[in-house]
Amino acid sequence: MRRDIEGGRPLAASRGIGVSRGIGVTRNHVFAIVFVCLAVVTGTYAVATMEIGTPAQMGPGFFPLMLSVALAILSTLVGIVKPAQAPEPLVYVPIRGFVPVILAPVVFGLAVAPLGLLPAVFLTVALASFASRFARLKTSLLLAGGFSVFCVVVFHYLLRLPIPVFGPVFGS
Amino acid sequence: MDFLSHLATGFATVAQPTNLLFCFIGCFLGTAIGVLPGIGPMGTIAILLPLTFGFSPESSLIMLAGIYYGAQYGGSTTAILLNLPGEASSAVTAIDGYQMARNGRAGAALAIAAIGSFIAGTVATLVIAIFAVPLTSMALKFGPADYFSLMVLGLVASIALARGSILKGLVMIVLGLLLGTVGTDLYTGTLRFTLGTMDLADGIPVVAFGVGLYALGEILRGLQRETDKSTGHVALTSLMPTRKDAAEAALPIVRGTLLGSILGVLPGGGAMLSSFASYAIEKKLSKKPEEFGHGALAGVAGPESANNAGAQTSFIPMLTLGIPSNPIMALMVAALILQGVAPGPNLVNEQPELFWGTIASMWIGNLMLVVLNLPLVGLWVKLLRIKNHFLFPAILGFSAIGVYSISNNSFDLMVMALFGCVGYGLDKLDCEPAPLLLGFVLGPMMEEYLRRSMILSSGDPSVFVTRPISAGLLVLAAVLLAIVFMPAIRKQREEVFVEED
Repeated sequence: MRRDIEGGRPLAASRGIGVSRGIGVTRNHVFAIVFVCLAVVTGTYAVATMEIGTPAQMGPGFFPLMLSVALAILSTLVGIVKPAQAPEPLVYVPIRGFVPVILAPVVFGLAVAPLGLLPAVFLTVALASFASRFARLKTSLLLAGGFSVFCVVVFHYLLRLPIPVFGPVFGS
Repeated sequence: MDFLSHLATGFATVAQPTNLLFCFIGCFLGTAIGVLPGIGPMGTIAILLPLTFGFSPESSLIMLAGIYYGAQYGGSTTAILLNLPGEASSAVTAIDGYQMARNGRAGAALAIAAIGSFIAGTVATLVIAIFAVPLTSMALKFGPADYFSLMVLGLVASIALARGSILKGLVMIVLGLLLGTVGTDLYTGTLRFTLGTMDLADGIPVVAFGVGLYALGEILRGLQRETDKSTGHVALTSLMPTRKDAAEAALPIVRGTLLGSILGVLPGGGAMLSSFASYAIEKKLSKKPEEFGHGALAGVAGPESANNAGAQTSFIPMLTLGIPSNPIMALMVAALILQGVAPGPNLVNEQPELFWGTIASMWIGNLMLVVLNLPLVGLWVKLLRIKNHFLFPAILGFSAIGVYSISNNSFDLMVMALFGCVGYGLDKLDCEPAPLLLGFVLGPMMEEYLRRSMILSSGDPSVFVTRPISAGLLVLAAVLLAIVFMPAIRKQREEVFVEED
């Protein structure tokens, strides 16, 4: 644990400019910190809310606790062991790409029950298409329109999924 | 000749018009999506999996199997024509296949790849049919401790034989196992890690998990380096291989088939390992090793046959033991469980139609793919001209509908979005999603076998090393780990997996 905290120093130094590229050591330290923290959380949660039991009569918490300990040990090792090869430089998705892609399923989930299949697919696809740098309003709307009609035909009429085309909001 | 009557049962099942149709749809969709660069069989299955839930278990497994090898075929096509392998196992095909295409022999490369795959598929179907029953009866001798050790071996093998850091792979496995414990404890009914929501009482929804991890992950990675260019134009020559080509490819096809059939059965093996191994062997055996990398036909024929044979025989552990040997099989297990079918040694007796139907459908599917692929190759190439920024919103739309349709619960879509973020973060930390998914699916089974064996042994953990089968499997796992951690092997392993880039 100690070494892990020490190892975190380069991270703190580079914070603010993001994880600087090409420094694999830092990336592995981030890895170790994230997963050791996670292991502490899951381990504590297991001890606090579940019965651990004995090896002969394992309680619900035994396996999770065992895994949390293993996770902590292995992640610490990742932070300590020097990586064999230099990692590839990091490339990120621009934020305007990331947000629509991640929000698309959320929007679908929120829209499908009240609005129905057609509007939900339309919104999802239209939103998602703006993740691309090459999205134009007109083509996005065309794509979303065409695709949502296609999905209604395939999923509602051919596969008979029990999702209404238009939801209760439209009074049907 | 018992297996012939079994195969007959299987073919009778597949010959039902609906099943034939689903087999065809599976192959067709699998190829169509597999052709798209960046989306391999795993992503394809994750996206299309929800489509199959409305069908009977037979039809849905037949269709999934079709999607699986359809995606393999599709991946090879783009590997040869455009040097864009859709998945890791066709990366090997791209090395020489693309060079052949540049030398004007694209047609021959495609045809040999298809024929090799078909021959391999036929042999692998027979291998499965012959060995399934003996393996199943062996599986019935397995005690809980043996099952536990077998899963340990499978998990260890899945990272040892794949690319990426082994240590991080182990972390991913443990994380997957931990995620697998979310939900209600089977023995006591205690809710674990459910964070107070009943939506998690049945555990993290597996399809939402897989689709988030793979499909969203692929899309985000695709957006990293977006270009407006469509992928390019290819001139296609005659598809008929010459007699000389056929003669040259014959032995590599035979060797690749045998190699793939064996390696596919190993836990953690399957298509990718088979094709890498076959390429290495062909290069060693060739009279003109200098041709490799510059359009050697054997470098296409061998690996393509091997990966198809391996893809197919990797069904054996799943169908006979109920243990998936790779993430694709893990998704198949999840699909079967959602259908109310428990894969395992009893499957063959309880559901002979499902069992043998799936096996027979592999052969039918392979036949369809040859018929479908060679004449339609022009269509697949056209598909590549669709610009990515029209494609990924559609893929997102499909995935969202699919994930929702499983239980009509919006919560699943939040899970999908969450694991999209997780998958992207893990990618930035140089982690592979495959061991995570495998651990997640195996987790509940592993825990159950662990607890059962500990109850039987009254808490004595030595049971895992005193039972011969279990001890043997654990030794194998330990040896495997020791080998990949050895510096010399480690270096070589890195070289092998660098070759695909």
